[in-house]
Amino acid sequence: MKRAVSALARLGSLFALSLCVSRPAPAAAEQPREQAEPASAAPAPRVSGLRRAAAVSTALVPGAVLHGAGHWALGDPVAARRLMAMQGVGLGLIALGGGSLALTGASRYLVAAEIATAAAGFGLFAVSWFADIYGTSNRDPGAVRYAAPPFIQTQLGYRFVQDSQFDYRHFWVEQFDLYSAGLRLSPSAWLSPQGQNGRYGLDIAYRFIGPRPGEQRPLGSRVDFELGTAYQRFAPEQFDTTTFTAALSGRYDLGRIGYSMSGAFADWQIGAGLLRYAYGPKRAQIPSDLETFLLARFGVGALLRGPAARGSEVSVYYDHRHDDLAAGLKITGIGSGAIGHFGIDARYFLDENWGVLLDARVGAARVLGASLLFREPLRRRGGS
Amino acid sequence: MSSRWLLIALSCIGCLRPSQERAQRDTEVGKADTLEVAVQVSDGLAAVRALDAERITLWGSAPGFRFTLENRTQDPLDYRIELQNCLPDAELRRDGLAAALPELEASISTRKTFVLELPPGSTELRVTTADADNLEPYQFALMSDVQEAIDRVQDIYARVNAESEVRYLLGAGDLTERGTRDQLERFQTELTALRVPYFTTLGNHELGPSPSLYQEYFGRGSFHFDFRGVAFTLIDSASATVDPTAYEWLEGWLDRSIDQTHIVAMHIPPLDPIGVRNGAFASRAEAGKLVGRLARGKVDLTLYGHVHSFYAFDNAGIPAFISGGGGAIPERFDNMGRHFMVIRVGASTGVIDSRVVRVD
Repeated sequence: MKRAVSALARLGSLFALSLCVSRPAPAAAEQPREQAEPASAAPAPRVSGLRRAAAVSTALVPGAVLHGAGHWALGDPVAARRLMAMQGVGLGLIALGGGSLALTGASRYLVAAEIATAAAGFGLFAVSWFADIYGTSNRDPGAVRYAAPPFIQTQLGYRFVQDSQFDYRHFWVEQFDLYSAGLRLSPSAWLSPQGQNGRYGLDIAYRFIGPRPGEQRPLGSRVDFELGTAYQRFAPEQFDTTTFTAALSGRYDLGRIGYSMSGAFADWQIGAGLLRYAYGPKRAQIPSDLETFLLARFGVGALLRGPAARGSEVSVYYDHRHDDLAAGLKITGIGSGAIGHFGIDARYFLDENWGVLLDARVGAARVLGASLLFREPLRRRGGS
Repeated sequence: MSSRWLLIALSCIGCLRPSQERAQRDTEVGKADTLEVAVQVSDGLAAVRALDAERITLWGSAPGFRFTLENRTQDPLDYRIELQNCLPDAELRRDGLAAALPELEASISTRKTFVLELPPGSTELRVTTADADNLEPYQFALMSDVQEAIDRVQDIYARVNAESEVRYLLGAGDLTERGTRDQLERFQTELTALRVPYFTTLGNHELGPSPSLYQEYFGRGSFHFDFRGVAFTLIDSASATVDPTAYEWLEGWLDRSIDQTHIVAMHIPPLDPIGVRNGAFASRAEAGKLVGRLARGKVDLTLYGHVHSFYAFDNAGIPAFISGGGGAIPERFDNMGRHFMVIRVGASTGVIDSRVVRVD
């Protein structure tokens, strides 16, 4: 209990510090520019409620099999063809990656490329179906409001972790995202005083494509290069892990496919990592192990509207990582051990500064929790 | 209070202990009873394949084991004990008696039948060999991952039979494609051509229609035995995890064998030497926990299957082999093909040497 209070106090002070370092808003500060319409497509014609309902139904069935069917029903054949093409490419990649895996018996020389190809295929397949459903049900694409990346964002929260292999249950979570031009620095800490476990991470990212702090763009696509490291200590189990990762990650604004899909996005990440296991106790002098792993993540989501402030969004994703707290799904049968985990990430901002994050993941462990979010936008003086 | 509700809510999503049911069933292996007779095999080292008032059939998971037969009637029974999957020189002894029980002639080297008069009450019996207390080094073989290559498995058995010094074959799972009754029957039939018994755990391919079928046929997924001073632990990792119940057993086995030569085998390795493939545990944290524990338990050798090739590596400093050469879809470009391993071990010498025997 004492440890828990102490850890909470430490995290609280870090959170308070982040509030202090955020830049005060100048009196004459200009708010971020309003977003423009997506450049990719013209506004769609009005659609009757009946036709839209039929389109949504079509997107579900037979749309599950033929992605884009909903947009055909909606009267948007251009978007429909694009979605069908995405589905086709996705299926092709699944066949290529999966077929090659089967034919080569997961050969050590090809397996990384095979899994990455198959994962990309699944990602495209999932995105094209989601985009069809989202687009057909999107009654007001013009209402989408994009947010400029903040100068700083921080979260302080709690996660409940249910893992049959470890005693820890409760984690206090603290994370900062500090932006400077194209660079992002993201230190993070997950502390479980109860289970004597802690995970400390540091990510550094550079944005090649996409909005930087204070920049508001009509579409939310972006591409980042990320380097990361994380250290996790398992005190009762007498070992710790250190990971090093390098990845390309990004977001594709589905408004580029069709105006009806404005506000929806697909997230992706591909990369590789190195995982070092160090075993205790020190006096036993047990040699450490080094293991490579693949980073592959894809997700779909949508920006929230209504009373939600800019930057509010919800996404669901698949993450191939097996080295974090959620790790890989425990499934029985032929695919045992190979699959990563699934998650939902929902961010709801009450205003320009404050918001909440809901985080749920299912893998070898279940992770569920929420964080208080604070962000400080970059404000510019006198004009854009 | 809140944690309990969270646990209940979350238990609806996914499965955190996919091998829990198998671990529970492990505790039932080796136990059976009828109105007239009951049997209990110590440590579950044999599966009870048949039991009635006239006979019992046991499928052995280890070179030696003890079991208790209870005659619940008031009269002695003329009783027939059939041992399957036993060493060719296995003997059956009553506890406290020096002489082995007489056996009937058998055409299959790994099957033996004994006839005895079973008095009312409990009778302690022991399956053993004349060399059980000999601490000199000996050889065993390792072969896993047969799956759809069952039609060609006799090639491998013929090569194993040619290794005259091999005492038994050890398996790290994936005997069948899906673990159906037909496939398990077929595997058992093919085994009759093998000169030595096959002591094995199960793999993820045995978890098809009903995971418990495997245990009905071949016994426990997680078990431990000693033979000639060398300890063997086989662990059920078929779901890319080890159930917490099996971890409790493992703790005891590691503590008990810390001063012995100790070999641990399981199907899915905690760590895949080609990490990007993920032919390993679902959780790398669990992998670290297990491998670290094996190292602190001074395990001498770890043996795995699952990957259809051959790898020699270390985990936490423990020598490790992945040998999945039973014929299932092979890993290409590895220049390996079907194979099995022959490993020489001794009580005081540890693991002396090992070699790969190529079949193709």
